[in-house]
Amino acid sequence: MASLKHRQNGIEIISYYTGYIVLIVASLMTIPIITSLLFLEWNPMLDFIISDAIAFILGILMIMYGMRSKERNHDIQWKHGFVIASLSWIVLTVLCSIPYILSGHSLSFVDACFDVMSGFTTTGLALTQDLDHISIGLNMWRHILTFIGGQGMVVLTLTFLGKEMGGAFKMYVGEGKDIELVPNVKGTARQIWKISMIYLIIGTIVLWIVGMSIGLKPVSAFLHALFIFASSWSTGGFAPNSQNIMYYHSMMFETVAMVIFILGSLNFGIHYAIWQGKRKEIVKNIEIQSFLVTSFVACMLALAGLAKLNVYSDAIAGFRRVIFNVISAHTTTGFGSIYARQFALEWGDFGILIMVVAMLIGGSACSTAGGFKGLRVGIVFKGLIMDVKKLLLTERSMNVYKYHHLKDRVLDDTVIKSSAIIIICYIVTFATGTILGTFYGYPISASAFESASVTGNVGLSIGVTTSSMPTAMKLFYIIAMYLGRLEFLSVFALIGYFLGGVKKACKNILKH
Amino acid sequence: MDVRKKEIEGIIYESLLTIFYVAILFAANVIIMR
Repeated sequence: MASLKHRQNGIEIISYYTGYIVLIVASLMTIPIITSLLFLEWNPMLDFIISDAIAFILGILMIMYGMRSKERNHDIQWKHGFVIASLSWIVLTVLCSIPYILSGHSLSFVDACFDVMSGFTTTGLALTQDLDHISIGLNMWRHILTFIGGQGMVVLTLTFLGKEMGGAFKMYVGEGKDIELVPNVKGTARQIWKISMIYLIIGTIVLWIVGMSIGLKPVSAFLHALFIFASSWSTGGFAPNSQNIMYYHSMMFETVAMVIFILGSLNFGIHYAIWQGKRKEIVKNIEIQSFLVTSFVACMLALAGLAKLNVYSDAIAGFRRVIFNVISAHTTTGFGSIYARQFALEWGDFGILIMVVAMLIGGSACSTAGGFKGLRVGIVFKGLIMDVKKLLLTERSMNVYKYHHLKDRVLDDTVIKSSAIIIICYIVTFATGTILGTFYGYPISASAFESASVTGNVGLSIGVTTSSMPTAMKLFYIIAMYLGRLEFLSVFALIGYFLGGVKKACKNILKH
Repeated sequence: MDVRKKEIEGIIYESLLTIFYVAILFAANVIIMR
């Protein structure tokens, strides 16, 4: 009986905080409402008002249901924090897909959820129909989703907290982030948003100027700059046009976007440390070292491979078509400067393999990027060196091995094991996606490319992701994006919590 | 004031380093494609 009551309290806590997150994200729908109003788009405005009303009502109902636990001051336990983070992503995916469905640009509910999950997880793959003719309001919504997804919905909610909340850190960790920039989690969330908003202003202005210099009208250039910044900084890959970054036909525009998405793929902890005057961090940090080595090697290998195939004739083409795409893959951004099928037809197996590896490695931990992260690659690599050194040393010698990530940390077996487990989870998800693709008749290289793209939250496509692909693949890709973004553990916690509840309910039924 | 100055310096520093890295990639690309 006590166990049942305990579970009821847990559900109330989860309901209360999930409802709170839903309300905060739903309030952001006022931005596309205002945008639609400004550009006199009456139908999209109505779509957003209806969607906002539904989201608000559900959020308030969830808060009311969980209010009792709040009044009794029940503590959030680790399992609750993880479940709140993972559950809120599912609830918000469904709610935020309503404007897509009402707009008529999504062929089905699954397609709409695919696009929203792709936005939230900063993947950037899109099943939206007739992308070149969607309303400015809906375009604004797509890019807001990817921008807040990059920072995290829990981080966004914590920013709006009036006072420090007990258990907030548990929700923050549940969303795949673990760095504390300042001693309290609310302050950390605010610092993350401060960094993003300052770069939003700088990046949008720079892209706006470049946009006008290539012939866009001021208002159009501003909107394109805002959308491309949101996608670049969040390593998202959405663009307001179906041609993606190719639409601009500008090396300058691509280079500015590249600088922004490299900055966006860095750990918020590293940004904060540099902003605090700790400049040596950028040289000493294991994540930066790992990113510089892997991204440089990937670019050079792809260039050498494509030079051998005589695909691109000059250095400018090499930079715009090869380096841009490899860095876009490595930072998990997903802007493509060539058409999807060109990867399959021109790049060859070697080029595709380099892209797959780059997409799986990804950017930094606690950043907007996906993949299994440079930090883990660095830790596992250092762990390997540590083991070799131990073999070569005398049995009596005792050495302490360290790595630098914002501070000096001891490299022990627990750290290496937890990094290796997450890497294995990514590889299993990637392998499952590849197998599923080949089962439905896609070539193995195309299946692997697309599977790496969804698992690493990248968004580059080789042509597999279309609204005509099998529903089972769409569903798997949604799950893979979700697992990749939340780094598995909180999703496993949600499944465990749900199965635990089912098991207890079954036991109670059998008892009676 | 000192905090604001440090932040601005930090933004310039990391932006310039990123541009420098992109320039290195471009230079390496020129060498390979030649």
